[in-house]
Amino acid sequence: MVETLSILAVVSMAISTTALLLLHVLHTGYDPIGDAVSDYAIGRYRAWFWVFTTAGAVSGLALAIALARSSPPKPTLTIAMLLLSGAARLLIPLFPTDQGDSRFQTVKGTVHMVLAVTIFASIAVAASSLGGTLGHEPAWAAVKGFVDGWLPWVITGAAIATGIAIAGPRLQRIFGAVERLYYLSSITWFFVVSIELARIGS
Amino acid sequence: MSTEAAGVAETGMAPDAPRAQPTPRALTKRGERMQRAVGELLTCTRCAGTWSALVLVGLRTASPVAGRATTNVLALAGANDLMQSGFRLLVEGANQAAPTELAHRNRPGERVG
Repeated sequence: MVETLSILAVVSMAISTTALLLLHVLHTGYDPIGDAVSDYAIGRYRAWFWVFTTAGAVSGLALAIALARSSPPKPTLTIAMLLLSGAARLLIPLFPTDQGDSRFQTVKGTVHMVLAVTIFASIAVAASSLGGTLGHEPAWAAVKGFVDGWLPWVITGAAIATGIAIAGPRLQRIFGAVERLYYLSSITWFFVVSIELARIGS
Repeated sequence: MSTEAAGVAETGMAPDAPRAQPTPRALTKRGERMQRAVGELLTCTRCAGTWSALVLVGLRTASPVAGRATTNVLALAGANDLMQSGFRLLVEGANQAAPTELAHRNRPGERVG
């Protein structure tokens, strides 16, 4: 069961990443340095954004249940945060972001930002809380540098930097780059944990 | 005073007159921007379903026995809802078909059965 769910998490994250990469290759009209990933939800290629978020949600939910069923037990906080991020990712395409000067112009845009903050914070907390536990498990020694090393710090730092970039007008020019650093680090974390869990198998 | 006359006196209308349907209370959106956003996030149909599913999955993950019991109760409640809806559809269908069938049976010079 743990193996199956881990493989499901890997496959879903691969689909999600492919959709995100496609959105960068297609002629969406958005600038990867300045524009947010959420902007892809508006335009003719929005279906790929739905694929990106939904597959990401499936990956998070599958990884949460796989971790909950694995032994030795993993922190409840990690599992709860992964479930929360999965639910928020399922809902976020229903609430498109606001474009223009402020991302808080409409109720839907504000809901989008609440969900985005929830996703970013929950994955950062999940990665940080899991690192401390996995760092002491011999089975995870091969990836200790990732799960209990620099990766959770990069995820947390990028999540905080994204929040600051929303608020700071000067940083809005590089908002997209900061947000994409967060996605790069969190996707890496998902792959490392899912693949290792599938390999260990319990 | 007869009962019918008393009814007219009380309500001001004949007993057979259709009753006015109560107007549904208008749902007004209240609160400031963030409050409204959180309210929308909690109460929209898809959101409520997603949060309920999240609670159920969380419960099953944290405590499988309690989670299974809750899921069973909710599944039975859902089945009950489906059966109630089916029964109501059947009754409505039967009530619509009955006047036509009765008129057909009561047609003079026609043997029924």
